[in-house]
Amino acid sequence: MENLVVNINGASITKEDLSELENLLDNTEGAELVSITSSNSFNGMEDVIIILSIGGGVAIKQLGAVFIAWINRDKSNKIKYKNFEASGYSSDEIIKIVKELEGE
Amino acid sequence: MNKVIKLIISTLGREHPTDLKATPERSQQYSDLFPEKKGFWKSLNSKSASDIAMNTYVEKVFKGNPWLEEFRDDFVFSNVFSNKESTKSIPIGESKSLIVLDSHIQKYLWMMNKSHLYGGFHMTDKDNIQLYAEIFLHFSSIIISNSKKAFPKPKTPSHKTKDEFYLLALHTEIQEVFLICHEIGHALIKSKKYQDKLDIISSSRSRHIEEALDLSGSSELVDEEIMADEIAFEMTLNVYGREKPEVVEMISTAVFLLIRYFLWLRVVYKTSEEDFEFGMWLSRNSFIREKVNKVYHWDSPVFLIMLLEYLEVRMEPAALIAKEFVDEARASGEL
Repeated sequence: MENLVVNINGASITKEDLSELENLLDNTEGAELVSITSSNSFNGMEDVIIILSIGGGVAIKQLGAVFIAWINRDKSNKIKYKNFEASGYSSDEIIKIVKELEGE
Repeated sequence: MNKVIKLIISTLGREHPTDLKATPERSQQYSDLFPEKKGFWKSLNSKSASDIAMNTYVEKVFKGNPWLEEFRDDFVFSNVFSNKESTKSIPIGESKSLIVLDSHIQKYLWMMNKSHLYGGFHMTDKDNIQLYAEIFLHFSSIIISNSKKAFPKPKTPSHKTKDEFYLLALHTEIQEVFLICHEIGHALIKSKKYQDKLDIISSSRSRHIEEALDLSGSSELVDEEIMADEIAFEMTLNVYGREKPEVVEMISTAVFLLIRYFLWLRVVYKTSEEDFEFGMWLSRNSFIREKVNKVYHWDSPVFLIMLLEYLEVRMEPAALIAKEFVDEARASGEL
Protein backbone atom coordinates (compact mmCIF):
# COMPACT_ATOMS: atom_id res chain seq x y z
CA MET A 1 0.00 0.00 0.00
CA GLU A 2 1.25 3.45 -0.76
CA ASN A 3 -0.05 6.92 -0.01
CA LEU A 4 -1.77 9.06 -2.56
CA VAL A 5 -2.55 12.71 -2.00
CA VAL A 6 -5.22 14.40 -4.06
CA ASN A 7 -5.56 18.16 -3.97
CA ILE A 8 -8.85 19.52 -5.25
CA ASN A 9 -8.06 23.17 -5.93
CA GLY A 10 -10.49 25.91 -5.11
CA ALA A 11 -13.01 23.60 -3.50
CA SER A 12 -14.63 24.19 -0.19
CA ILE A 13 -16.14 21.25 1.64
CA THR A 14 -19.34 21.13 3.64
CA LYS A 15 -20.27 18.36 6.05
CA GLU A 16 -22.62 16.96 3.42
CA ASP A 17 -19.89 16.99 0.75
CA LEU A 18 -17.54 15.24 3.15
CA SER A 19 -20.05 12.57 4.01
CA GLU A 20 -20.79 11.92 0.35
CA LEU A 21 -17.14 11.66 -0.59
CA GLU A 22 -16.40 9.38 2.33
CA ASN A 23 -19.23 7.08 1.23
CA LEU A 24 -17.97 7.02 -2.34
CA LEU A 25 -14.44 6.23 -1.21
CA ASP A 26 -15.62 3.54 1.20
CA ASN A 27 -17.07 1.72 -1.79
CA THR A 28 -13.89 1.96 -3.81
CA GLU A 29 -11.88 -1.24 -3.82
CA GLY A 30 -8.25 -1.01 -2.91
CA ALA A 31 -8.38 2.47 -1.47
CA GLU A 32 -8.56 3.46 2.14
CA LEU A 33 -9.35 6.98 3.14
CA VAL A 34 -6.80 8.34 5.59
CA SER A 35 -8.02 11.92 5.87
CA ILE A 36 -9.85 14.75 4.18
CA THR A 37 -9.04 18.29 5.18
CA SER A 38 -9.49 21.81 3.91
CA SER A 39 -6.51 24.03 3.55
CA ASN A 40 -6.65 27.81 3.92
CA SER A 41 -4.79 29.87 1.37
CA PHE A 42 -3.67 33.47 1.81
CA ASN A 43 -5.79 34.38 -1.21
CA GLY A 44 -8.92 33.11 0.56
CA MET A 45 -9.33 30.02 -1.57
CA GLU A 46 -9.78 26.63 0.03
CA ASP A 47 -8.39 23.41 -1.34
CA VAL A 48 -9.55 19.98 -0.29
CA ILE A 49 -6.62 17.71 0.52
CA ILE A 50 -7.44 14.03 0.49
CA ILE A 51 -4.94 11.49 1.74
CA LEU A 52 -5.51 7.90 0.75
CA SER A 53 -3.76 4.62 1.19
CA ILE A 54 -3.98 2.70 -2.10
CA GLY A 55 -2.96 -0.64 -3.52
CA GLY A 56 -2.56 -0.64 -7.26
CA GLY A 57 -3.71 0.42 -10.72
CA VAL A 58 -7.32 -0.68 -10.37
CA ALA A 59 -7.78 1.63 -7.43
CA ILE A 60 -6.36 4.56 -9.37
CA LYS A 61 -8.94 4.25 -12.16
CA GLN A 62 -11.78 3.83 -9.79
CA LEU A 63 -10.56 6.74 -7.72
CA GLY A 64 -10.42 8.94 -10.79
CA ALA A 65 -14.05 8.14 -11.49
CA VAL A 66 -15.01 8.75 -7.88
CA PHE A 67 -13.39 12.15 -7.65
CA ILE A 68 -14.73 13.36 -10.95
CA ALA A 69 -18.21 12.13 -10.17
CA TRP A 70 -17.98 14.04 -6.91
CA ILE A 71 -16.56 17.30 -8.23
CA ASN A 72 -18.62 17.30 -11.42
CA ARG A 73 -21.39 18.96 -9.56
CA ASP A 74 -19.39 22.17 -9.74
CA LYS A 75 -17.39 22.30 -12.92
CA SER A 76 -15.21 25.15 -11.76
CA ASN A 77 -13.42 22.80 -9.38
CA LYS A 78 -10.19 21.20 -10.47
CA ILE A 79 -8.45 18.01 -9.53
CA LYS A 80 -4.70 17.52 -9.48
CA TYR A 81 -3.16 14.06 -9.51
CA LYS A 82 0.65 14.02 -9.67
CA ASN A 83 1.30 16.45 -12.56
CA PHE A 84 -2.14 16.08 -14.11
CA GLU A 85 -4.92 18.57 -13.60
CA ALA A 86 -8.53 18.08 -14.63
CA SER A 87 -11.51 20.34 -14.50
CA GLY A 88 -15.11 19.35 -15.18
CA TYR A 89 -14.38 16.07 -16.95
CA SER A 90 -16.88 13.24 -17.01
CA SER A 91 -16.08 9.98 -15.24
CA ASP A 92 -15.43 8.17 -18.55
CA GLU A 93 -13.07 10.88 -19.72
CA ILE A 94 -11.04 10.84 -16.54
CA ILE A 95 -10.78 7.05 -16.54
CA LYS A 96 -9.38 7.28 -20.08
CA ILE A 97 -6.93 9.96 -19.05
CA VAL A 98 -5.82 8.09 -15.96
CA LYS A 99 -5.29 4.94 -18.06
CA GLU A 100 -3.03 6.94 -20.34
CA LEU A 101 -1.17 8.32 -17.35
CA GLU A 102 -0.70 4.86 -15.93
CA GLY A 103 0.59 3.60 -19.28
CA GLU A 104 -2.25 1.28 -20.23
CA MET B 1 10.32 15.38 6.18
CA ASN B 2 7.67 12.71 6.25
CA LYS B 3 6.45 11.12 3.05
CA VAL B 4 2.85 12.31 3.24
CA ILE B 5 3.95 15.91 3.77
CA LYS B 6 6.21 15.61 0.73
CA LEU B 7 3.27 14.28 -1.29
CA ILE B 8 1.07 17.18 -0.17
CA ILE B 9 3.77 19.66 -1.13
CA SER B 10 4.14 17.95 -4.52
CA THR B 11 0.52 18.86 -5.32
CA LEU B 12 1.36 22.52 -4.74
CA GLY B 13 4.64 22.77 -6.64
CA ARG B 14 8.14 21.37 -6.40
CA GLU B 15 11.38 21.91 -4.57
CA HIS B 16 13.22 25.08 -5.42
CA PRO B 17 15.79 24.38 -8.15
CA THR B 18 19.46 24.52 -7.32
CA ASP B 19 20.38 25.55 -10.86
CA LEU B 20 18.32 28.76 -10.84
CA LYS B 21 20.51 31.71 -9.95
CA ALA B 22 20.49 35.49 -10.35
CA THR B 23 21.53 36.73 -13.77
CA PRO B 24 25.19 37.79 -14.10
CA GLU B 25 24.05 41.41 -14.27
CA ARG B 26 22.09 41.09 -11.04
CA SER B 27 24.89 39.16 -9.33
CA GLN B 28 27.26 41.97 -10.24
CA GLN B 29 24.92 44.52 -8.64
CA TYR B 30 24.84 42.50 -5.41
CA SER B 31 28.62 42.13 -5.47
CA ASP B 32 29.05 45.88 -6.06
CA LEU B 33 26.81 46.72 -3.09
CA PHE B 34 28.24 44.03 -0.80
CA PRO B 35 31.78 43.26 -2.03
CA GLU B 36 32.63 41.49 1.23
CA LYS B 37 30.03 38.84 0.30
CA LYS B 38 31.02 38.37 -3.33
CA GLY B 39 31.42 34.59 -3.00
CA PHE B 40 28.04 34.27 -1.28
CA TRP B 41 26.15 35.97 -4.11
CA LYS B 42 27.88 33.84 -6.74
CA SER B 43 26.94 30.60 -4.99
CA LEU B 44 23.36 31.60 -4.08
CA ASN B 45 20.62 29.72 -5.93
CA SER B 46 16.84 29.58 -5.66
CA LYS B 47 16.88 26.67 -3.21
CA SER B 48 19.50 28.09 -0.85
CA ALA B 49 17.92 31.56 -0.95
CA SER B 50 14.45 30.27 -0.18
CA ASP B 51 15.73 28.00 2.60
CA ILE B 52 17.67 30.87 4.21
CA ALA B 53 14.62 33.11 3.96
CA MET B 54 12.22 30.54 5.42
CA ASN B 55 14.54 29.63 8.30
CA THR B 56 15.12 33.32 9.06
CA TYR B 57 11.40 34.11 9.05
CA VAL B 58 10.47 31.14 11.23
CA GLU B 59 13.13 32.01 13.82
CA LYS B 60 12.00 35.65 13.87
CA VAL B 61 8.34 34.68 14.27
CA PHE B 62 9.05 32.42 17.26
CA LYS B 63 11.53 34.82 18.84
CA GLY B 64 9.06 37.70 18.55
CA ASN B 65 6.17 35.55 19.79
CA PRO B 66 7.53 33.44 22.66
CA TRP B 67 3.99 32.39 23.65
CA LEU B 68 3.99 30.29 20.46
CA GLU B 69 7.12 28.32 21.40
CA GLU B 70 5.24 25.68 23.41
CA PHE B 71 3.44 24.74 20.19
CA ARG B 72 6.45 24.81 17.93
CA ASP B 73 6.22 21.08 17.20
CA ASP B 74 2.67 21.60 15.90
CA PHE B 75 4.02 23.36 12.84
CA VAL B 76 5.95 22.13 9.83
CA PHE B 77 7.23 24.89 7.55
CA SER B 78 8.03 24.48 3.90
CA ASN B 79 8.73 26.59 0.86
CA VAL B 80 7.58 25.50 -2.57
CA PHE B 81 8.58 26.47 -6.10
CA SER B 82 5.27 27.12 -7.78
CA ASN B 83 3.66 28.93 -10.70
CA LYS B 84 0.55 29.83 -8.73
CA GLU B 85 -0.52 31.22 -5.38
CA SER B 86 0.08 28.28 -3.05
CA THR B 87 0.82 29.92 0.29
CA LYS B 88 -1.41 28.12 2.73
CA SER B 89 -1.93 26.28 5.95
CA ILE B 90 -2.90 22.60 5.79
CA PRO B 91 -3.91 20.41 8.74
CA ILE B 92 -1.84 17.22 8.50
CA GLY B 93 -3.19 15.22 11.40
CA GLU B 94 -2.16 14.78 15.04
CA SER B 95 -2.97 18.47 15.64
CA LYS B 96 -0.19 19.54 13.29
CA SER B 97 -0.26 22.06 10.45
CA LEU B 98 1.88 22.39 7.37
CA ILE B 99 2.63 26.05 6.58
CA VAL B 100 3.70 26.63 2.98
CA LEU B 101 5.22 29.76 1.44
CA ASP B 102 5.32 29.80 -2.36
CA SER B 103 7.77 31.31 -4.82
CA HIS B 104 5.06 32.74 -7.12
CA ILE B 105 3.81 35.12 -4.41
CA GLN B 106 7.35 35.84 -3.25
CA LYS B 107 8.39 36.83 -6.75
CA TYR B 108 5.28 38.97 -7.18
CA LEU B 109 5.92 40.84 -3.93
CA TRP B 110 9.59 41.40 -4.72
CA MET B 111 8.85 42.81 -8.17
CA MET B 112 5.94 44.97 -6.98
CA ASN B 113 8.04 46.32 -4.13
CA LYS B 114 10.81 47.16 -6.57
CA SER B 115 8.34 48.98 -8.76
CA HIS B 116 6.93 50.85 -5.75
CA LEU B 117 10.24 51.76 -4.11
CA TYR B 118 12.79 51.90 -6.90
CA GLY B 119 10.17 53.18 -9.31
CA GLY B 120 9.33 55.91 -6.85
CA PHE B 121 12.98 56.86 -6.38
CA HIS B 122 14.15 56.76 -9.98
CA MET B 123 11.34 56.48 -12.53
CA THR B 124 8.96 58.95 -14.11
CA ASP B 125 5.22 58.40 -13.65
CA LYS B 126 4.97 57.08 -17.21
CA ASP B 127 7.82 54.60 -16.95
CA ASN B 128 6.72 53.39 -13.54
CA ILE B 129 3.15 52.89 -14.75
CA GLN B 130 4.52 50.82 -17.62
CA LEU B 131 6.57 48.67 -15.27
CA TYR B 132 3.60 48.06 -12.96
CA ALA B 133 1.43 47.18 -15.97
CA GLU B 134 3.99 44.66 -17.24
CA ILE B 135 4.22 43.05 -13.81
CA PHE B 136 0.44 42.81 -13.58
CA LEU B 137 0.27 41.35 -17.09
CA HIS B 138 2.98 38.78 -16.41
CA PHE B 139 1.51 37.46 -13.17
CA SER B 140 -2.13 37.60 -14.19
CA SER B 141 -1.45 35.75 -17.44
CA ILE B 142 0.39 33.00 -15.56
CA ILE B 143 -2.60 32.58 -13.27
CA ILE B 144 -5.22 32.72 -16.05
CA SER B 145 -3.46 30.30 -18.36
CA ASN B 146 -2.08 28.05 -15.63
CA SER B 147 1.39 28.92 -16.94
CA LYS B 148 0.64 27.72 -20.46
CA LYS B 149 1.01 31.24 -21.85
CA ALA B 150 2.39 34.29 -20.13
CA PHE B 151 3.18 37.84 -20.95
CA PRO B 152 6.95 38.17 -20.47
CA LYS B 153 8.47 38.94 -17.10
CA PRO B 154 9.60 42.56 -17.19
CA LYS B 155 13.09 43.73 -16.33
CA THR B 156 13.04 45.58 -13.03
CA PRO B 157 15.33 48.45 -11.99
CA SER B 158 18.89 47.84 -10.81
CA HIS B 159 19.93 47.85 -7.18
CA LYS B 160 21.73 51.14 -6.88
CA THR B 161 22.44 51.81 -3.21
CA LYS B 162 22.64 49.80 0.00
CA ASP B 163 19.97 51.93 1.71
CA GLU B 164 17.49 51.35 -1.11
CA PHE B 165 18.26 47.64 -1.16
CA TYR B 166 17.76 47.36 2.61
CA LEU B 167 14.43 49.15 2.33
CA LEU B 168 13.31 46.79 -0.45
CA ALA B 169 14.50 43.72 1.44
CA LEU B 170 12.87 44.85 4.70
CA HIS B 171 9.51 45.65 3.08
CA THR B 172 9.49 42.24 1.43
CA GLU B 173 10.59 40.45 4.58
CA ILE B 174 7.83 42.09 6.64
CA GLN B 175 5.27 41.02 4.04
CA GLU B 176 6.53 37.41 3.94
CA VAL B 177 6.63 37.21 7.73
CA PHE B 178 3.03 38.50 7.69
CA LEU B 179 2.10 35.72 5.24
CA ILE B 180 3.59 33.04 7.49
CA CYS B 181 1.89 34.53 10.55
CA HIS B 182 -1.42 34.65 8.66
CA GLU B 183 -1.18 30.93 7.93
CA ILE B 184 -0.22 30.19 11.53
CA GLY B 185 -3.26 32.27 12.41
CA HIS B 186 -5.55 29.88 10.50
CA ALA B 187 -4.17 26.97 12.48
CA LEU B 188 -4.69 28.87 15.74
CA ILE B 189 -8.27 29.74 14.80
CA LYS B 190 -9.22 26.20 13.79
CA SER B 191 -8.18 24.35 16.92
CA LYS B 192 -9.62 24.74 20.43
CA LYS B 193 -6.14 23.97 21.72
CA TYR B 194 -4.97 27.52 21.04
CA GLN B 195 -8.07 29.48 22.02
CA ASP B 196 -6.66 31.04 25.18
CA LYS B 197 -3.63 32.23 23.21
CA LEU B 198 -5.76 34.27 20.84
CA ASP B 199 -6.44 36.79 23.59
CA ILE B 200 -2.72 37.24 24.03
CA ILE B 201 -2.61 38.36 20.44
CA SER B 202 -5.53 40.68 20.48
CA SER B 203 -8.23 41.38 23.00
CA SER B 204 -10.48 43.11 20.53
CA ARG B 205 -11.48 42.19 17.03
CA SER B 206 -13.18 44.20 14.39
CA ARG B 207 -15.05 42.92 11.40
CA HIS B 208 -16.27 44.21 8.12
CA ILE B 209 -18.82 41.56 7.53
CA GLU B 210 -21.41 44.07 6.35
CA GLU B 211 -19.25 44.96 3.39
CA ALA B 212 -18.63 41.32 2.59
CA LEU B 213 -22.28 40.39 2.94
CA ASP B 214 -23.18 42.93 0.29
CA LEU B 215 -20.95 41.21 -2.19
CA SER B 216 -20.86 37.58 -1.30
CA GLY B 217 -22.71 34.86 0.54
CA SER B 218 -19.69 33.42 2.28
CA SER B 219 -19.15 35.76 5.20
CA GLU B 220 -17.75 33.02 7.41
CA LEU B 221 -14.80 32.58 5.10
CA VAL B 222 -14.15 36.33 4.93
CA ASP B 223 -14.50 36.55 8.70
CA GLU B 224 -11.81 33.91 9.15
CA GLU B 225 -9.47 35.64 6.69
CA ILE B 226 -9.83 38.90 8.61
CA MET B 227 -9.21 37.12 11.91
CA ALA B 228 -6.07 35.55 10.44
CA ASP B 229 -4.98 39.00 9.18
CA GLU B 230 -5.44 40.44 12.66
CA ILE B 231 -3.43 37.64 14.26
CA ALA B 232 -0.75 38.10 11.61
CA PHE B 233 -0.58 41.87 12.13
CA GLU B 234 -0.15 41.50 15.86
CA MET B 235 2.44 38.73 15.49
CA THR B 236 4.36 40.79 12.92
CA LEU B 237 4.36 43.80 15.26
CA ASN B 238 5.74 41.50 17.95
CA VAL B 239 8.56 40.45 15.62
CA TYR B 240 9.75 43.95 14.70
CA GLY B 241 8.51 46.02 17.63
CA ARG B 242 5.62 48.32 18.33
CA GLU B 243 7.26 50.96 20.50
CA LYS B 244 8.64 53.26 17.81
CA PRO B 245 6.36 55.14 15.41
CA GLU B 246 8.74 54.74 12.47
CA VAL B 247 8.78 50.94 12.90
CA VAL B 248 5.00 50.70 13.18
CA GLU B 249 4.71 52.98 10.14
CA MET B 250 6.98 50.68 8.12
CA ILE B 251 5.11 47.52 9.14
CA SER B 252 1.75 49.18 8.45
CA THR B 253 2.93 50.40 5.05
CA ALA B 254 4.35 47.01 4.03
CA VAL B 255 1.21 45.11 5.07
CA PHE B 256 -1.13 47.66 3.51
CA LEU B 257 0.83 47.45 0.25
CA LEU B 258 0.64 43.64 0.37
CA ILE B 259 -3.16 43.74 0.51
CA ARG B 260 -3.36 46.40 -2.22
CA TYR B 261 -1.08 44.36 -4.48
CA PHE B 262 -3.40 41.35 -4.18
CA LEU B 263 -6.54 43.45 -4.57
CA TRP B 264 -5.38 45.20 -7.72
CA LEU B 265 -4.09 41.97 -9.28
CA ARG B 266 -7.66 40.70 -8.98
CA VAL B 267 -8.88 43.84 -10.72
CA VAL B 268 -6.63 42.89 -13.63
CA TYR B 269 -7.69 39.29 -14.14
CA LYS B 270 -10.92 38.54 -12.31
CA THR B 271 -14.18 38.86 -14.21
CA SER B 272 -17.19 40.75 -12.94
CA GLU B 273 -18.95 37.48 -12.05
CA GLU B 274 -16.25 36.67 -9.53
CA ASP B 275 -17.33 39.35 -7.09
CA PHE B 276 -16.73 37.23 -4.01
CA GLU B 277 -12.98 37.76 -4.21
CA PHE B 278 -13.33 41.51 -4.67
CA GLY B 279 -15.55 41.64 -1.62
CA MET B 280 -13.09 39.64 0.41
CA TRP B 281 -10.09 41.80 -0.51
CA LEU B 282 -12.03 45.04 0.03
CA SER B 283 -13.02 43.80 3.48
CA ARG B 284 -9.45 42.85 4.31
CA ASN B 285 -8.25 46.21 3.02
CA SER B 286 -10.75 48.05 5.24
CA PHE B 287 -9.75 45.96 8.23
CA ILE B 288 -6.04 46.70 7.80
CA ARG B 289 -6.76 50.43 7.57
CA GLU B 290 -8.75 50.29 10.79
CA LYS B 291 -6.05 48.17 12.43
CA VAL B 292 -3.36 50.70 11.51
CA ASN B 293 -5.53 53.49 12.97
CA LYS B 294 -5.51 51.59 16.25
CA VAL B 295 -1.85 50.52 16.45
CA TYR B 296 -0.37 53.82 15.23
CA HIS B 297 -1.43 55.63 18.37
CA TRP B 298 0.95 58.60 18.13
CA ASP B 299 -1.08 60.49 15.59
CA SER B 300 -3.41 60.00 12.68
CA PRO B 301 -1.66 57.68 10.17
CA VAL B 302 -1.44 60.28 7.45
CA PHE B 303 1.23 58.16 5.78
CA LEU B 304 -1.50 55.73 4.65
CA ILE B 305 -3.46 58.51 2.97
CA MET B 306 -0.32 59.71 1.22
CA LEU B 307 0.44 56.15 0.16
CA LEU B 308 -3.04 55.71 -1.27
CA GLU B 309 -2.76 58.97 -3.20
CA TYR B 310 0.57 57.86 -4.59
CA LEU B 311 -0.77 54.45 -5.62
CA GLU B 312 -3.66 56.20 -7.38
CA VAL B 313 -1.14 57.98 -9.60
CA ARG B 314 1.00 55.00 -10.58
CA MET B 315 -0.07 51.51 -9.56
CA GLU B 316 -3.81 51.76 -10.04
CA PRO B 317 -3.79 53.27 -13.55
CA ALA B 318 -1.30 50.55 -14.49
CA ALA B 319 -3.72 47.88 -13.28
CA LEU B 320 -6.49 49.32 -15.44
CA ILE B 321 -4.17 49.38 -18.47
CA ALA B 322 -3.18 45.77 -17.81
CA LYS B 323 -6.84 44.82 -17.46
CA GLU B 324 -7.57 46.13 -20.94
CA PHE B 325 -4.77 43.99 -22.36
CA VAL B 326 -5.98 40.92 -20.47
CA ASP B 327 -9.57 41.46 -21.63
CA GLU B 328 -8.38 41.77 -25.24
CA ALA B 329 -6.20 38.68 -24.93
CA ARG B 330 -9.15 36.73 -23.54
CA ALA B 331 -11.49 37.98 -26.28
CA SER B 332 -9.02 37.00 -29.00
CA GLY B 333 -8.42 33.57 -27.45
CA GLU B 334 -4.79 34.35 -26.75
CA LEU B 335 -5.43 33.79 -23.03
